[in-house]
Amino acid sequence: MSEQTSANDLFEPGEYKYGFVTDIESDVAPPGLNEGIIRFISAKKEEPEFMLEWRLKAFRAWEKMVKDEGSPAWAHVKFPPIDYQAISYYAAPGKKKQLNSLDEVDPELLATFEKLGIPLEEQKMLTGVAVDAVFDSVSVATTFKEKLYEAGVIFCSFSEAVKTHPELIKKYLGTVVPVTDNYFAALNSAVFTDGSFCYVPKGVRCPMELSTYFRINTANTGQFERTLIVAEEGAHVSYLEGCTAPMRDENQLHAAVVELIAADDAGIKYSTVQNWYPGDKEGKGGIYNFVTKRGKCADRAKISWTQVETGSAITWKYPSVILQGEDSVGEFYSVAVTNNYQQADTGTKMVHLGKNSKSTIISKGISAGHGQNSYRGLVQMNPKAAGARNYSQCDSLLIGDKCGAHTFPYIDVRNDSGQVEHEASTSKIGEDQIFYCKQRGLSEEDAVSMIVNGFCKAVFKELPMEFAVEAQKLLNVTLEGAIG
Amino acid sequence: MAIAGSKKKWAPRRYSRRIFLATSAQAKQGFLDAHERFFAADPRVADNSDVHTRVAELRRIGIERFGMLAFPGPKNEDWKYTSVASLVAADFDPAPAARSEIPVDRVSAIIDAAVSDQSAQVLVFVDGSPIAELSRNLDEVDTAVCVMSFEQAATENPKLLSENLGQFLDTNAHGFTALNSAFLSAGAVVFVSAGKHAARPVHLVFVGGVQDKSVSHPRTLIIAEPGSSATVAEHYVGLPDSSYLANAATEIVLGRGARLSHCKLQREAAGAFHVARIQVHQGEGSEFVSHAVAVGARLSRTEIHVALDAPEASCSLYGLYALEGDAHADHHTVIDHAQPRTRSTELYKGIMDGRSRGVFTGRVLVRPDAQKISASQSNSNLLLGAGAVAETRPQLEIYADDVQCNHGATIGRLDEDALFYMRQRGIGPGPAKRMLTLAFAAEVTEHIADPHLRASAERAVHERVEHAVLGGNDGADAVHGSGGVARDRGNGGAS
Repeated sequence: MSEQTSANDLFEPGEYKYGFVTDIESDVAPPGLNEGIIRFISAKKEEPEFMLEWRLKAFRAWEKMVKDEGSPAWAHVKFPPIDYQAISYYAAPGKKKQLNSLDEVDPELLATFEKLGIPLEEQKMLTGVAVDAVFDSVSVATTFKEKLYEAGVIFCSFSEAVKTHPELIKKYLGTVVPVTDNYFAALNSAVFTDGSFCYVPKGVRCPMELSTYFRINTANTGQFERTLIVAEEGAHVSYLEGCTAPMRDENQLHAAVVELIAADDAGIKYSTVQNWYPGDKEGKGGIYNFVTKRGKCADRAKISWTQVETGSAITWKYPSVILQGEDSVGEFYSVAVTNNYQQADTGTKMVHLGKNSKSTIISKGISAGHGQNSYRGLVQMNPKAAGARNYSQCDSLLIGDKCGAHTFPYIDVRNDSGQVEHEASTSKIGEDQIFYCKQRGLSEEDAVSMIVNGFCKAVFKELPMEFAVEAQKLLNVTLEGAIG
Repeated sequence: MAIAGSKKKWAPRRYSRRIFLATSAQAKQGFLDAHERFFAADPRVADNSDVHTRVAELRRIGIERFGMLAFPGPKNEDWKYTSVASLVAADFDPAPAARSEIPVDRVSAIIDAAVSDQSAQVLVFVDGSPIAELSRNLDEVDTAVCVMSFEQAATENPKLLSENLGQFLDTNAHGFTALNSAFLSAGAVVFVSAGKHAARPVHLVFVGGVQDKSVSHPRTLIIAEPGSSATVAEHYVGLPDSSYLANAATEIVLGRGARLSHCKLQREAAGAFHVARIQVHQGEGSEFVSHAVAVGARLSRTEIHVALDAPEASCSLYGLYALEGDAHADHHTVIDHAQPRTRSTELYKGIMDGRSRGVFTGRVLVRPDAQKISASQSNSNLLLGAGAVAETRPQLEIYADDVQCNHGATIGRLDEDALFYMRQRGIGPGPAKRMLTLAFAAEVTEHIADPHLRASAERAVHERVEHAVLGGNDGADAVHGSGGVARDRGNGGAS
């Protein structure tokens, strides 16, 4: 475990290490949400007509949901009502012109990335990872694009893709998560400002891991990301997403949508390390993270979601797979940690439509302090999904007597050849386990750290190497103090 | 499930929802009117005794709640997988069934099939009313346990009734429980005296469908005083080929150190609707064992809510549902670990043939500061029919840390390897399937301690499985296998 913890500061959280604010002149839209704002966003981003129409359709769907049902209340989380009219829906960094090299990027911005430990130029040389850095909704730097272009892979910001590849956007956008899907997806579809787009053509194996760093910067600006990844027949891609955010007093809304499309024999691996600002130890502030992630799998295709959720005041996220194709495979590996007053309601949906489709769910929840952690999942096997299989395992670990761990799996089998196994357990770290470690000369903190890391091992081993290291560090920082 | 549905599928669903809301509102109005007609000027309420004041109060609260809650609709998460559309559309007569001519021979045959033990104490209700002539051995002086109808209790022990009736039953949950209170008139009271051990089980038999389209609201109050122990069985049966609604509610109160084994056998007629709620309140160190077996009814829902409201209390819930044809059975259990050092185990199994649908929801709640808890839950489902559906929702909600909780759920068909092994040894496919299915069911029924009850439960399941495995899935044939009619066919064949 980390350096300066002692048994005395039990439940004292580690200070948020990445909390700092960069002062950049922002081009901010006035707060409020109406048709005018959506036209403003679309015009500002110089979008083609079909995009504006699509956004307005989403906005009308959202308005209807607001009128009919209001904000969804089924998740096991509590938060004060959000005033959507008090949020500003567009913010762009001061410089708007197209950048060609890192030299043109605002030095203050580069310094921020420096503090985060992701110096672009260094990463460029050492790791071979292309970084599409999204800073407050507008991409300011994209690297390795040329190399990817050689392989035929399109990897760019969403707004760029709208301009350069409108036909692909038109073909795929909203095909996995329709605008009417849910409250937050509709909101995102109406007002999203940027995100990432990735297209891997037929038979191409993406030559490097793709990653994007998201950051929230301007106060009171909701961030609405849109990610669309398309892997054509036989294509393979591994996508990494990670985020940290500056310390803030007011709650910030983050409603992202991620769509994955895997054609026949394709494979998409999507990994996330989420570390938005979780709020202070009294539960004040912190990001509301309401994300809709879903993938569609054709014949023999595979989609794998791996996530490590340590941040955010509220996490509301269900990366799902629609297993349409025969022999398609869906996977979900998750570690969710809640400390202090954090709340997480996360899980997955595996919808089996194709014959012999298979899915695996491994979910590990850790609750500490006053944290509330819920697993909510659905495994559905439709009448045509003959021979479908699922294995699910959801374990929860409790650290401290004020936290909560909950599991709400839904299993729905409409096919007599379907086979489902589900297991879940909830317990705290055994006193005998700690005693055993201490006997062998380990301190209590080290013992707990070791046990927690062991508990999450099945998920960490699914992460790409760089992320696995970062994830372990994050876990330790998040739980610092709580496990004295 | 928005995901799988294409736009085409959505339109009729909305349409049917509108129809549901309309028929549901109509059915609700029917019950409200009937209540107004029958209870507004109930002469007995004028009599100011405690019991009648209590009953009148419960009726008033019940009908008020029912007015607010109505029938659970498709948006009610607890009823997600169970639609009551066919129930509200069934056009039942909401008025309390008038006493009519009882076909004694047919009803006695059904009762004999349900309770084979001739020396047992049996209290019989037909369409909701207690029938003394069909009841058995109730005059026997038993110092341990006392079985009475509400009418008897009101004269013999009014205090017991007025103090305990409706004390723990949650009428806020949904319309059916509220409706049971609203139409409260007859019921059974089982009272086990402190420190006494009841040697033989008490049987309550509820026969429905003597009047077609009738609705009954059986109510049972079981009080086990400190240190006592007893076994109580509730049998729900009906005349075959009839359609009726049995909307039951059972309240069980266990005193300190009391032990109660409760067995509910649902063998309603194939066209019947059955809704039951069992609410259990446990004292310190008490032990509750529940068995819920469901083989009948077109649509059935059984809810068991156990409050472990004192330290060292423990409960074990066992359930088995064996369905065929278009039957739908929903079991909904809630175990509330409200106090430290409480324990629970739960084992539910389902066998679905034809196009039947089995639903299980098991919620385990551990309250803040309820430490040293152990809770384990398991739900297994066997799908025998190609159109069969199993839905399961095991839920853990935990707010304390010193706990050992787990749940497991499986859905699948018979193990191919096991079938292959048996066939290698010369056992035909039919008998092999039957043996494996019965063995699957036996893991639940073997926990019933009383031999007569166990035999009775096993018989009910055997009949259903025999029919499912060997009888095929043809719908017309499905009728006579259920409804509590004793047709002991092929019992010897089940090894």
